Amino acid sequence: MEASYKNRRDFIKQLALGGSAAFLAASPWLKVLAQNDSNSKAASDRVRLAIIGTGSRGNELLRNIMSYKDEQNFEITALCDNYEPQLEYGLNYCHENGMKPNTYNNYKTLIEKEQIDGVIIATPLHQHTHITVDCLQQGLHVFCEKSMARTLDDIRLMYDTHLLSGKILQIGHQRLFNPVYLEGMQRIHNGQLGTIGQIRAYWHRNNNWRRDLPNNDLSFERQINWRLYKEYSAGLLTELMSHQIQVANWALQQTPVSVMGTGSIRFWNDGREVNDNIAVIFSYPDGTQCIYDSMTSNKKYGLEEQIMGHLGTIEFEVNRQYSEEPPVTPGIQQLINDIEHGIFGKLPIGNSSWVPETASKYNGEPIITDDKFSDTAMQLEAFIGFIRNGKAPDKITKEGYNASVWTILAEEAIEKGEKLTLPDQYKI
Amino acid sequence: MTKTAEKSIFHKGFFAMNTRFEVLFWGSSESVCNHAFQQIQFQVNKLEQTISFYDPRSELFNLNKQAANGRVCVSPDLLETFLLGIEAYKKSCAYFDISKGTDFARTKNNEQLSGSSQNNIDERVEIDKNNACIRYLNNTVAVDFGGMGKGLALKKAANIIDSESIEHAFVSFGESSILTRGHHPNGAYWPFALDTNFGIDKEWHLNNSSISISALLMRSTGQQHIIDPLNPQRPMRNMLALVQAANPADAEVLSTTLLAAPPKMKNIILQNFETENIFLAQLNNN
Repeated sequence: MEASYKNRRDFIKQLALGGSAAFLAASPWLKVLAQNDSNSKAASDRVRLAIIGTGSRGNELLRNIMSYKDEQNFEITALCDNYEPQLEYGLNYCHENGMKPNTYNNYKTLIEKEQIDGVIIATPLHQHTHITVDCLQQGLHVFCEKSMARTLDDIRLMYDTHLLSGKILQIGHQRLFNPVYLEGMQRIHNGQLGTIGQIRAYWHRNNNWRRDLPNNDLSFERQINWRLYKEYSAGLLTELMSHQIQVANWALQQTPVSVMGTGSIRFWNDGREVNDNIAVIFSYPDGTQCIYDSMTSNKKYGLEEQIMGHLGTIEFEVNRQYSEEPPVTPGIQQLINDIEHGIFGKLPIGNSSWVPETASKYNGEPIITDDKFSDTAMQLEAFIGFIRNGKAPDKITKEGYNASVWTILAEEAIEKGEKLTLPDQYKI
Repeated sequence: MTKTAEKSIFHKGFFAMNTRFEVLFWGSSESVCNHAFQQIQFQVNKLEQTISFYDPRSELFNLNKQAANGRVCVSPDLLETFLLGIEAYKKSCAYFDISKGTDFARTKNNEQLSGSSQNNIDERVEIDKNNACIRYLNNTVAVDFGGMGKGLALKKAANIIDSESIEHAFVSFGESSILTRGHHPNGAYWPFALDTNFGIDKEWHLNNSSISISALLMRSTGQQHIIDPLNPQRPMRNMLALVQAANPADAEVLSTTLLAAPPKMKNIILQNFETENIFLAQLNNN
């Protein structure tokens, strides 16, 4: 049952070029990876990028994109951050990789001065909107980390500006480029799991989610630990759940019709404002329910998205697929075929397992073997390809948009204690 | 149900005992087939929950943890299985020994054997039939029904198929344990053969019968899943044993026993079982 890809090229060939029509309609952004393999190395074709926000995520994106420096014709032209140590880290990393970007502590100066094609935005959530809008209006293509923005209006503004400017807006949902997810989604969209009835997803951690403050200087608290304060973040919802509601929407090829939820600060009562314990239910038009929870005081169950159909289940994070009923044995399949075709022949069924039985549980089967691709790197490779084309499939922007609006609406549902639907002005 | 010109095939399966249990019925109504299948699934799952060696929730698992410390009262199902295990021990001249689960497990993991000196099962396990209680007489004992579980499951399936008056059935439990009733829709029997990987071109004609296949293939690591319980150090040969018998539980026990026992004992052991066909073959280690 498991798919095996020898290398990245093989993966692209099989999925991006050879995927089913249903799959490619649901994941049209994948084709750009095939095109990227034949791009020009000329200086005039070089894609020039800037990174705005060189904190932990921004530098992670930098490390990932550098893994393509020998095969993709791009350049990191500028870096921007208002926190000097992180900016310096990013600069040093670029120097180690033979690139010499200019540095800025103000993004507006950067986009005015630099001749660039696109920006990668990895700032705290509440800064996404104004930076993205300014960049798009400046004629730049934008890759912005998830979640899109802190409010529904800001999310809508980003999307509308993208449409008006005609520039690319790609949101950093790296699972869209993860081979396990892509192979699994192909199976879901081809009907292998049957009718999906429920999606269960969760993200459990056991830590306080805090970062150390420089010299324990409390004046940095809100800047460094912005995820814990409502002014900047919706906490577990925007930072974790937004990834998983995107997976649910992608799997179902729908967006929810309603959301309800609850939340609390149960364990980390340390002055934070965002919940450390949430439970949310999204309902979809066809009756599918997505049941989500997240907590930060127990990590036993970790992280998962379980897609449950009447024929089988996929658990993406552990790369497993489970059948509701066992696949038919080849010998039994031959018996069935023989009967149906009026044949009476020898049935080579008899077998014996050489492997001693050591467990009594069916553990499913891997979705793919040799999962050695970085989805984070591949989404950035795709961004370079989209810039070359001057456009990206609108569906990839919508994936980010829909995940973001339903994330913010989930926060509102928790705060109000109500079941909410999406107001018309936010529907696209 | 798959429709054919004259006959309907009913085919369903489920996972049990770490493998696939598949039934194929024909000649009976879908509702009868479904009812029989559901009963079989329930009974096989119940059996597994009772006798699984590995599942911490099974009754046997907990018995194995506790019975060396004192008498443990067991369910009627587990008691019955123990008595069948003792009967198998006697019929196999002690070459099928459920009480050597510790040694089986250690052999599978290529670990040193327990070194227990008592070779008679009566010196290791005490069964109080009247009070349905069991005690292990030393702490190296662990009972393992692994060599007969599938056969017991097929025996339960056979009872259900017969009581539902399903005339034609082909049942495969992990492809190594087969139960048949009636015949193939297009012929007078079920034409059974070994998987082509064995390179053995032979056919068995099955009607109301069962087959169990056991194979022993020594690994370079020394791991194996069948040992001679009376002489665990005895070098074993790569062998395949196929037993055809009316009773699938007997077929299961005997196919393992024929691999575990030394060649000189085989004819003696065979006298204790009612069989329809015995097939032994040496296998290459490749």
